[in-house]
This record gives sequence, C-alpha cells and structure tokens, in this order.
Amino acid sequence: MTKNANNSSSIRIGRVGIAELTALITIYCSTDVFLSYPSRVAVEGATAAWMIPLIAGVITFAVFLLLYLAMRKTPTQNLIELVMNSLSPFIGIPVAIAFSVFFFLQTAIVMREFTETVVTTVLPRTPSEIIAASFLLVVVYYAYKGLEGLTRVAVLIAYILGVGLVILLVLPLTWFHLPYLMPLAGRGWNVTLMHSLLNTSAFANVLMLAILYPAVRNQQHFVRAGLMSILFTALTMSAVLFVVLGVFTDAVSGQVSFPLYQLARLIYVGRFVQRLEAVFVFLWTAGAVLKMGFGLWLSGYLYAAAFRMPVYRPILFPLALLIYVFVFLPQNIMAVEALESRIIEPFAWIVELLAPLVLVIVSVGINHLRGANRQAQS
Amino acid sequence: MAISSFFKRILSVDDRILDQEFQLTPMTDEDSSHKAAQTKAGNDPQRASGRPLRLKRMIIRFGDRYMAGDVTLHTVHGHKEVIPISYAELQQRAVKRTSKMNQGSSTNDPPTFIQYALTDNQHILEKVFRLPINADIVIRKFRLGGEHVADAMAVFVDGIADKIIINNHILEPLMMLSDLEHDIASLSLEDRIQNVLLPGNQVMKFSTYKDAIENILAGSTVLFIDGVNVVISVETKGWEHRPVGITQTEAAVRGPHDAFTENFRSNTGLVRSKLRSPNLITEMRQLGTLASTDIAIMYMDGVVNPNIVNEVKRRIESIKVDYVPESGLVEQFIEDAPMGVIPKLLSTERPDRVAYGLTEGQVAIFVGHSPYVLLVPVLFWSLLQTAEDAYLHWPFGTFIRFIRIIALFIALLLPALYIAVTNFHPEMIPTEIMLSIASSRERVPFPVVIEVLIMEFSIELIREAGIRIPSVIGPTIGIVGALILGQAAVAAGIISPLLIIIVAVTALGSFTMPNYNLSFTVRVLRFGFIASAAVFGFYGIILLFMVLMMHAVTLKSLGVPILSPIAPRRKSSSDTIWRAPAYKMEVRPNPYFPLRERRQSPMSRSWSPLAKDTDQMAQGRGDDDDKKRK
Repeated sequence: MTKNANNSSSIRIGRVGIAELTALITIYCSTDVFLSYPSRVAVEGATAAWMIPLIAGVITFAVFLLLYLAMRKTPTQNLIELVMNSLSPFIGIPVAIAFSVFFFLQTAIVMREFTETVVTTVLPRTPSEIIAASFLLVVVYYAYKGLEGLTRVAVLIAYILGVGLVILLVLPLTWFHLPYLMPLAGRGWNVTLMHSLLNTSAFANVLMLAILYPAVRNQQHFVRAGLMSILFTALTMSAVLFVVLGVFTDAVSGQVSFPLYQLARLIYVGRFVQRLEAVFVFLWTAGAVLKMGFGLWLSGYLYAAAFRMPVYRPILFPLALLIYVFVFLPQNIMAVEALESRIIEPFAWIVELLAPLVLVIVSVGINHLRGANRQAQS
Repeated sequence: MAISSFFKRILSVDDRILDQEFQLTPMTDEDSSHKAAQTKAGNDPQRASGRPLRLKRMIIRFGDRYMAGDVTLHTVHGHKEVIPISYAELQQRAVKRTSKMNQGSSTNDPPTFIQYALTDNQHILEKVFRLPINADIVIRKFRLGGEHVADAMAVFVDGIADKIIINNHILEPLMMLSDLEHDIASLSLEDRIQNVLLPGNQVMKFSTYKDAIENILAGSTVLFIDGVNVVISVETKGWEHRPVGITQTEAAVRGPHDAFTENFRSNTGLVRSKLRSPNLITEMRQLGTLASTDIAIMYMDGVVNPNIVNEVKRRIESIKVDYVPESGLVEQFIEDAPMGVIPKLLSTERPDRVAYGLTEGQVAIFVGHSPYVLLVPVLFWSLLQTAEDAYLHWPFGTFIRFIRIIALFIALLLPALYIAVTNFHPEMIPTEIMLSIASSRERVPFPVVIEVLIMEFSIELIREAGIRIPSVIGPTIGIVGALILGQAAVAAGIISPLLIIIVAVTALGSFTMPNYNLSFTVRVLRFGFIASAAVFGFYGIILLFMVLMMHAVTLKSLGVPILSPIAPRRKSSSDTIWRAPAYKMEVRPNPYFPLRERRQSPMSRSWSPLAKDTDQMAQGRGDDDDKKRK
C-alpha cells in the first residue's frame, strides 16, 4: 500500500497543543507516585532513591533525542505508520498489536492498583468489583472522547494536581529529617545507576511521543513536549521520593504500600488542618482516570492502526470488558505488586525505550537505502 | 426505540462523522478567495447552477403606455415577464406542485404575483385573511384623485398599524391632495404615488403576494391600485409595547441599566445607538412557515470571523419550523450538542453586553420581539461574568469573579460534600465539630441524604413559587419559606440546624450565577452530585466531576471549544477568571479567531511616563522619542 493510501485510511486524532500533550504524558507517567512506586524505588535505591528518577529521566531524554533525530525526516508518520511503510505490514501489525497489548495490560494493572487503593483508603466496605466497574465506566467515556478531550482535561487537572502535590509535600515537612537521606550514594553509585537504568520503565514518554508524533504541530513543539514531559515526570517522582525518604526513612518507606497516602495521613497543622487524606483522594482519582483513559485510548488506537481500521471507538467497549476481566486475574494486591516489581519494571523499558528506538532507526535506515537505490537507478 | 438507536450509534460510530462537525478556524487567504468566487457565482444563478446555455429573457410588455410616433395607440396596464425555461425545469415544477398538494397545502395560498385588477386582489386578500370572519384585517377602499382617477385600497392590520399615520399621511394625500399640479408627466402612476404623494419615511414597492402579506402582518399599510400589478407598502408600525425598561435578570450597579424590550426594531436600535459604526451589519431573515418571525443577525464586519457569520446563517436557514416565538427556541435549534446541560449560547437582555460582544468578534441574533438576544459563540467563562466586571476597577472586577467561581463550586458541591463527610469521611472534621453535628442530628430520624433532599426540594419549591406567585404577595414567600418552614422543620426535629446553613449557603451560591441558564445547570447537576456522594462519598463526587470536566472540554459553541482559552490553551488577553486592567486588554479573544486581533494600541496609556505595557510599547515610545529628537 502506498504512503498516501495509508494516510487516508488512518484514524484522525486531531492536533494538540504542546502544553496539553505535556500535561497528559506527565500525568500518565507520574501518577505512579500515588501507588507503590515510591515504595519499590525506596527498596532499590535506599537513601539515594530520590536520584533514581532524575538519572532515569536523563537516560530517557537521551533516547528521546535519538528517536527525534531519526524521525524528523518523516513528520507526517508516526511510529506504526513508519514501520508499516518501511518494514512491511508483516512486521508492522505484530508491533502495533504488541504495543496495544502493552498499554492494555498496563491499564489493567493500574486499574487493579487504584481499585485496591480506593478500597483500602476511603471505601473499605465497598466490593472491589463495584469500584472497578465505576472506574471503568468513566475510563471508557474518557477514551471514547479521544485525544483532544484527554489532553484538555489533563491541562486543567495539571494545575490542581500540581498545587495539591505541593501542599501534600510541604505540609508534612514538620517530620522531615535531612539525615534520613544520608548516605548520599545509598547502596553505592553502581547500584543506583543500574536501578536508574531499569527505572526508565516508568517513563513511557518516548513510546507515546513516537505514537503521537503527527498530532504535534511542528518538530520544535515535539522536542519541547518531550523535554518538558520527561523533566516534569522526573522532578515529580524525585520530589515525592525525597520527602517520603526524609519523613519515613528508606527502610520504612519500602514497607508501606502507598507511601504518599501515609504522608497525607501525617498532616497535622493545628486543630483544623489534619487528617486530610480524603481530600487527596481527589488527586489520585483524577490522575488515575486520566491515566487509564489514555491507556485504553492508546490500546484501542494501536489495535485499530494495526489493521488499518478507519475507526477505533467501537473497539473500546470489548477492550474495556477484557480489562475488567484482566483486573481480577491476580489473586490480590500483593500479586499485582509482584507483577510490577518482577516483570513490568525490569522489562518494560525494552518496550518503552528500546523497541521504538530500534524500530525507528531500522525503518529510517531502510527508507534511506531505498531512496539511495532509486536515485542510483534514475 | 430511541435508546436502542443511541446504543447502536455508540457501537457503530464512525470517526469521520466527527470530522464533519463545524470547527472554527482562523481565516486564510485561500478561504477569502474561495468565498469571493462563491459569492460571484451565487449572484449569477446560471453560473451557479453551471448551466452552459444562457436563456435570453423575453419581456412582453403590455400595459405600459407606449407611443408610436406622436399617437397614443392604446393604454394598458403593467407588464409581465416571461422567462423561457427548459422542459426539465418545467417537469420539476410540476412535481414540486404535486408534492405540495399531496402534503395538504392550504387552498388559501395566494398566487405568486400581484394581480392587475383591484377586485381580483381584493378577493385574494379576503381569501387569504379569511375575511370577513377575521376582524383584525382592515381593507379601506378609496378613489385616487387627480388626472388619472383610479380605485385603490389600503390594507392594514387593526391594532398594530398607527391610525394617525394612515389617516394623515396616506389617505389624506391620496384622496385630497392628489389633484395638486406636479411636474410629473414622465412618472408612472405607482411611481407618482411613491415619490410625490406619500410622505412616509419608508415607502417600498413589491410585486409578490408573499412580500405584500408579510408587510401587512408586520404593521405596514399596503396600497393596491387598480390596473397596477405592484403594491406600495408604507411603514406604519405602531403597536403597543413596553418601553425600554431596566434589566430584570442582569442587574448591575455600575453601568447602563437599560434592557431589551419586546420590540424588534427598538432592540436593534439600542445596540446600534451604542455602537456607532458603519461596519455594524444587520442581516434580516424570516423564520417560520405558519407565521414568520423576524431574525436579525448582527455583526461587526471586518472584526468577526466570516466563518462564524456563515455558520450562523447556515444553521438559522436550515431550521424547518412553523413558528418561533422566542429566542430560547432558536437557541435550542442552533446549539451544538443539544442534549447537554451546559449553555452553549449567551442570552442577554443588556444592549451594552451585546455591543461589547460584537466588538470582540461575536455575532448577535435578535429573534422577533424577544427581549433576550443571543450572542454566539460563547466561552464558558463569559457565562460567569457580568458587564459590571469590565466597568469596575480591575482588582474589584477580579475579586467578584473569584467570588463567583467559589460560589459556583459551593452551589454545585456543598450539599454533596456534606453528605460525603458525614457519611463516609467523618475523620476529616475536627472532633468538636463532629460532636456538634452528631448532637444536632440526634433528633433527626432520616439519613443525611434524605434530609438534604428534603431541604433541597423545599428550596426548589420556594424558588419556583417565588417566580410564579403574583408580585403583590411575592416578598412574603421568602419570609414564609425561610423563617417559618426552616424554623418549624428544625423545631419538629426533621432537619438539623447545620443543614439549614448548608442549604442556605448553597442557595445563595446558585443565586450569584449571573446567567439564568447556568443557574439551571448548577441546580440540576447538584442533584447528580448529591446522588454520587450518597453512593460513593468523595470518590463518587470526583468521578462525576471528572465526567463533567470531560463533557465540558469537548463541548463547542459554534465550533469554539467553550473552555478555551484555558483548555485548549490559546493566547488571549487575561479575561477568564482574572480580569486584567483595561489598558492591558490589548487583543480580542483569540478563540473567536477575529479578523482584527488587536483592539487597542500598545501605547494605550502613552501619556504616562511610567507605563510599560509591552515591549512593543517601549519600542513605540523609543521611536516617538527619536522622532522628537530629530
């Protein structure tokens, strides 16, 4: 199929602004801080855990720059279209399906985690099935409304999340002890660096930007969206870890399921400002809805793109039903966390960073060779 | 059936449908050249339809007095145009006529053109207006004096035409002054009447019955003359109506107090008197097949994005309805996403607001004698603003906007938050207050949700009764509702005193909404939040809030996302929640993509040595200084 024909049959996702896209990707990647992410990283990095997201961010940005340099010659094609056109659909279709399945599974895992968080923190007597179903209804609505809606809500919520997170991190500072962050190197620079490398799994920015490449107005915006989203994600994660470690110490942080929630519980500023954890339910529910909505949208969009369907919306409903099934496959929250720490974190970077980079470089290389051959023939 | 089709649509929706939705974009050179070509083609029907053959128009004159040499051959009246048409067109007309008959069109439909004979015209009018059963229509027959005596009749509607004008400025000149000598030999009879005898300020000729009848029904007096196949319409509108009064629903302390009234022309005049510009255009349309209503589309040419004007016209012209009595109905016909609860158009009774909106690049729609004018497109933030915000000093304008935003959240969420806190998250409240709430609720037999619903329902009753009750006893309803009902409910142990405070503050919050439609939105959504809080507490409130946010960000008002310039972010002067000083409001709202972006000079306070509005301004001042030095 020719390039033009492919473009005409592809799904129109619209154009989004740089601030909106940055907000959406940042929220998608940094919402993990509300869950067990700080606890996991505290175990890995000990007192140097707060550095891990920063180093991981630098590595991710380096990969992103390489990807951008490779992709900038094909501004109208996203990762999937590039692979389809250059490496044939025989490779393109399985790649698109693999990415779709990746986002699908990630959405299912996140939904289970957030469902358990809600049950643990605010609605202890409500069955998980009902919480998950209510989440799912809203998430399907979000995915159904498409990328434009998701990015716009993200930019609105970003203000609230930003202010809320700052309050959440500032108010418990009365318990903060700087010595808890010593020794600075944690378990040693080598260990910190190694875990930083693996921790790039938390940064799905590169893969998402490679998929949403044509939705950005120009290449300068693309670089800025990449830089800003990686920077904000890394800073958010690092700031949360910094405060969590300084308040609880690394040993305790590693034992707590939801460290940020525990941090919210600690808040006590006078008689009237205390026990505000219920208020912060707003933050993680808002973040969770956006993250899962975007995850479901990506999954549906990639699946439709794999088979060159002109629409993706009808796919969302069966996908949502499948997510509901997958949400309850793990026996309990401990099984989900084990999945996160043993499979997702050590290997997700292969899908999120390595695969897009390799695919883009190979595709662009083949395109270049073909172009050179054509020139030689003519 | 409707539900099944709804689900069917959800499951089979094609993305391409969404692409067809109107989306406002900035004007480009391509657009304007394309529009110019279209207009040119539109003026020439043959070119527009692409017909290669130009059919020559053949005019058979009979009726004009014509001369052969010096001898007058004969005198006949009027002239008739015969336009040759193709067989296909003839067939099309026949099909159209047949289908019209099948649809049961009225047998009282008049012919297209005015007849020559006065008696014929009289019979037609009697048939059209069902005379003599219909007592409103007056046919006054008289004889024109002067050199050429002719029978004539004046037709008007009693009650909406001014009798003094008819007597003194139509009948008197035509019957008594037509004998006077005038140097008018070259004029035909109808031109003589129009140009010499009728002193009315608006005198027009029409040749079709449609125009004649519309003019009669609009209050004009239409003259039929024997032997002439045109009518002369004299503007004699003079029905009773309320004079321009003070604003009823958008009161402001600072700023004008006049409001639109139930008179179409007064309303357009009120805006034009405030906005004295030759670029202010008023386009007229009629809407309604049973009874037509005037629609005026007003805009500032050269400022408004022509795509908005074209879209407004397209939507209004596509309305197929027999009668539109009020702008509220037109609003429902032309708004995007009509199933939603958030208003997508701004209906206002303030001429100053319409005038300001027009200068910002909006389009105003006047509907008949409705005292509410529609402004499109609209941003959600405008619904939370009053005209006063702009007139006040900017810190005060910003302050009252913040108050209103807080009021919006109170009106929307306070009862739901009360339910969530007392039912699901009591640990949030300090112990003393919790104990106080518990003790006040001790005697109350209902769960909190029922208690809140009872009170909210009572408030809605009071509100509705306050509007419907005769104005003489209106004020007492507040006392009855607030004091007697509230006190009695507390005393009887049905309601806790704290809830009275919650509901009262909520009601006050909803009363601060400056837009009547928005206050309904808040009232309806509040019940949704109460239900979600009752089921899931905070979690439920947040889920519903997120749904509402997604709904709001994807809503459009005539192609403009209503939450812009915040979501999506667009560059604009600060006029959403924060009201910038007037001298910093340099550009028009960017979401409307106006043709002229800048509305004031960067040097708007150039007299001040301290003014440093923008870089351009500093640059401008530098330039001025340089010139002076030279």
